[in-house]
Amino acid sequence: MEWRQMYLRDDLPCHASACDACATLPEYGAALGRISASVAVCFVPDALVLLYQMDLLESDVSPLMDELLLLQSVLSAHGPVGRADGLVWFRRSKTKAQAVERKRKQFALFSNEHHVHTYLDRLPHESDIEYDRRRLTETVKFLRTHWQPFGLIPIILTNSVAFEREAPVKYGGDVTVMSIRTLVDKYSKRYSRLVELCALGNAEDDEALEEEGGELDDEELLSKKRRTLFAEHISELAALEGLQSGRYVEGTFRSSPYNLLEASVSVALHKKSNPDDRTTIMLIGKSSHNRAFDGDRVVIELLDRSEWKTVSDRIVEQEAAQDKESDDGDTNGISHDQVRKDATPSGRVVRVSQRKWQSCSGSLQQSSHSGGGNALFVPADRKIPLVRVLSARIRNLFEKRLIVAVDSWSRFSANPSGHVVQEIGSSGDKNAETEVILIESSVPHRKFSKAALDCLPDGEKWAVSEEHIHKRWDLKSKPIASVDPPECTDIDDALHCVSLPDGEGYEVGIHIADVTAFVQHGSALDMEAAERGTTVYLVDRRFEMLPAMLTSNFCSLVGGVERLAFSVILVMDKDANVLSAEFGRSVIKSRRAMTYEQAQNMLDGIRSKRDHADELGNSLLGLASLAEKLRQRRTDAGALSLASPEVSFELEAETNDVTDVKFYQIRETNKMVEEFMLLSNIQVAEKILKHFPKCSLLRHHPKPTDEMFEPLLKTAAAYGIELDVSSNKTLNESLNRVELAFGKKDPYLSTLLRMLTTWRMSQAVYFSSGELGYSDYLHYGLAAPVCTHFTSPIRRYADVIVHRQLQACIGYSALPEVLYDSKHIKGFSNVMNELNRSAQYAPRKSVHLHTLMFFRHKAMRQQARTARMQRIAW
Amino acid sequence: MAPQRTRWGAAGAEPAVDAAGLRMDGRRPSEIRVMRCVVGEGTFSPFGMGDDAHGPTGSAYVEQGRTAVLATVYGPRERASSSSALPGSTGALVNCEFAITALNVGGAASAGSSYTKADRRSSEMAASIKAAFETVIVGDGLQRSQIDVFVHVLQSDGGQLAAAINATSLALMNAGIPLLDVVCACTVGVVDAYYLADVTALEMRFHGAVLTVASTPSEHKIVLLELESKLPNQDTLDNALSVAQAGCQEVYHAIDDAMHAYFAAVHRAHAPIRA
Repeated sequence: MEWRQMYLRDDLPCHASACDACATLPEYGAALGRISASVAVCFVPDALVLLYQMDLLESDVSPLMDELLLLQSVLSAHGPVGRADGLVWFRRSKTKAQAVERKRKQFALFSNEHHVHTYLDRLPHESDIEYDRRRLTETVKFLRTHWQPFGLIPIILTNSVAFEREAPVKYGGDVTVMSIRTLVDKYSKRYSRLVELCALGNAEDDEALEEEGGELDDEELLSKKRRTLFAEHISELAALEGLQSGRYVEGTFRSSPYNLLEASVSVALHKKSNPDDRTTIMLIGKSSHNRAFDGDRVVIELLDRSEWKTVSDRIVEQEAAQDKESDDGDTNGISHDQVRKDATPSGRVVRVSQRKWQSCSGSLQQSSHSGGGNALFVPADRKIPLVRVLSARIRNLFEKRLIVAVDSWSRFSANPSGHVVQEIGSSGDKNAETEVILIESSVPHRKFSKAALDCLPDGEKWAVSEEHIHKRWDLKSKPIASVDPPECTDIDDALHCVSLPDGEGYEVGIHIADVTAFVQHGSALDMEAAERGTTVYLVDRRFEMLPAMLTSNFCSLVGGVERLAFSVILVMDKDANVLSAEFGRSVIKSRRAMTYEQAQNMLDGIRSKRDHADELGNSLLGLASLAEKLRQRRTDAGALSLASPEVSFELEAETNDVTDVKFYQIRETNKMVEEFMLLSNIQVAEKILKHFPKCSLLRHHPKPTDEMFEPLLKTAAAYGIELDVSSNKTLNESLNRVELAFGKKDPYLSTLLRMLTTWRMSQAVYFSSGELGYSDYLHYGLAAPVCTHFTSPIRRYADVIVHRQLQACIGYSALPEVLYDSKHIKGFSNVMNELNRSAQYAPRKSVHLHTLMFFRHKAMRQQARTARMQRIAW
Repeated sequence: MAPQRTRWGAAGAEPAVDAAGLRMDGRRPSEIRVMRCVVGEGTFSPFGMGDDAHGPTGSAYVEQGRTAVLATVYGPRERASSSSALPGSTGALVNCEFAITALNVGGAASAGSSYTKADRRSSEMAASIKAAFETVIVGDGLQRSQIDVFVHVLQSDGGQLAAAINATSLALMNAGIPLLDVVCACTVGVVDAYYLADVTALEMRFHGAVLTVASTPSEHKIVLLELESKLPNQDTLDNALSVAQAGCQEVYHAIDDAMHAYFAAVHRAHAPIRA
């Protein structure tokens, strides 16, 4: 038994501005709100309100929730909320209030657990809920007397009707408890939007049924039971016992994207003997899902072999799934023997141990509205079932893009219930749809905080000074140029190449914007950049990782201006072998910022002897010839050349309407720049790995498993092609053979196969060198033994870290403590990988949206190809 | 919508200092735990010559929160022939033995954490205590004598070295050994940007750096400074030091009170009975 010593204090303020007694007490801690003197009533929410009614508390539809007092015991409540949730929420609400300077919410925190008058010992055998409620009511009693002189009344806000009902009896009449339901009933006339933000749902009914079943009228209970659609979830204890005895298994619930009646859970059935042997267990039919959502952590029970089912090939969409409720679990008319033969292990959910309920975007289904205030909400994500939503102004919400949060799913109802969090705009409107994309991919698109902006240099005065030049390499005389897409303002790399005096080789310089000169480790700006992780480019706008002053001015290596850079100077021989590499901070002056097209024209001009080659031209020529050799060597080593066609849009300047769409053209110069970026990434990776073998931030691309290639091989087989996927080299060679063999009669085929290969690949990810063995550092796609990200610190935060590590290698500055820690780098890599994933999702969606917009009112005839086929569709 | 992300590093769990500026046990960052001192319990006589037969010359029991330490002092007595003083040392020889018979509370109560005088950590602690006091014991007249200090940690909840030094200080005074100044010790844990005075074992779970400082309250001389783990920079050390010094000052008040209480009791006991 662990016991703690507690210090009870009498110097903790009650946070009411009107309270004279507490006015002289010291205030400590991070920005805490205060209850203003103007209000007569202050709500004190309980833990469940904090957990479920977040949107209501945060909204500004009514002034009721403007002043809240949170109790420490509530935030750290045991019970169903759990410590972390409460605190995370509190932090979230705090940062939110600071960042979005909308209506200022006052959340005050009263440390009742450390207060001498409100601390309570736990009684023997007292349950979590009872203890929490006793602490809550006792504190409110204290506050009531404490606040008496100036007439402020604290009211407990709860989710439970039962608590409201029994409070006067159990805790005495001087405590006012109000349930959310009563609150909404009372005020919905005045503030009509209260209803839709409140998560009423069926949670209470569940609670009432499950916790206090005995108290309900038998008749009422019976009538409810008649409508029972789902089996009850088993208790946590029963689940634990079942898991230990091997009766149940636990895993993550994955809905099938094609058939809402099917889902799967991948589990290790023999955890002890063979943890890597995972079996996929199918959950077929809505009743076996038992209200689980995609991504939930579930406890499942394996069904007896005789009950195993076949996986259907049918695509079942939302609406169809809705109709299917009655005949769920049906095996699609396949005869019994057949069921046995190709049946897959099946199971059913007995408990959802962790919900991954999130808000989702979508729109209301008008046909489901049959008067009254509720309708069904169709989420954009097909894996989420339809959600029942309640609103007083439901009619106004049709044809609108909405964000809905799921609150609960009672076993008496066919659909989960939810509430409208946010109304974004009319569906089909480009701004509204873009907003949806941003919310769904959770791209931070708020403005930079003042603290972060304060870290910036003085915008008018800052320039490269003598002091900079003194401390850095002076490379202003080198023929440096940058090559980027048109209209690129955040130029983070520039190149130069000069022949060595002996004529035997080249000096190649790769210059990367020196972001770390502006962004100090641990500064507010650094924190915010880390939180964003990457710049997100949508078709018509971008959300930057750093403030525009840095990205498009001071860090950007624009032409003709002196800029700070981090340079990699390589000495290469004629065959593009790296003879030596040096790293250092420098001052450069780019001669010209070129587009790929301009650079290509320049190259072509010189090669066809049309133009005279100046210093810059020679530099470009040298780079191009070296790049060619580098590329060849890489391909020989097994680097894949993959295709993922990108489209570019032409937008009308004012309205941002799409006027044309094209495939993005890849020129020789694109490949040239790419080649040198890759080369410097590899050079830097080798350098930092040498100095920090245990904590370098690297990037690897694991070799894909054979299973991942299976669909590709199938597609190829359909064309009578055999691909050798045993290594990256053989795969590349097979793809090249296809290009040769089919090049004339079917030029698109090889591109298609390359695209499919790209899709089958796993993503390259960041990792800490201390966490893996050397052989796992391999970057499969690039065929590089080590690699990292160094070349785009303006738009990727990982590069900033690598810059800091490289700086430490060459003795510019000490490495911040945390960057020595492999565990920290590992955690950081995971966050970056996650951020990158969501940052990739948004641009893809944006391209998709614009493509659809472009084709909206156009009829076109185009050739297309089938890339994949479901086995049977209807 | 993606789930709420937490920044990397220690996620979840309680923070070292909550939003109201309080630590887990309700203290503010710079506050030390309640100290209880008992002086002279079980000594042979207030200023007697303690030996094995008659019990110690001085003793003190110190509780800081739930860390409890007993220190006993024998001597000054004749230096054992085997013991060799450091060359050039002019004062008394201080021998220190450190033992933990601890009931580990709060922190990581694992089998490995209770150790005896034989192990390395205990001898390290003993060496630290010895080093701290050799600088303050007035050596005149004690050149040929030795002072034996036995420190027992009875219960441990963080800050055992500091508590041991405080107890030794009291026990030496109780034994009547001349000291240049009292030695007071306090730990400071550096967790995130907080400086937590007198950290508990529970707070050590945050894996911050822990600084133990022993200083003399009147001249603020640092006689011992131990740092477990690393601090990022000089400023952090300076800040931690000033918090520790303030903590030492608090400890001094407690020690001062304890000595006054002790002398008052002695005075009462030895006061001539007035007719």
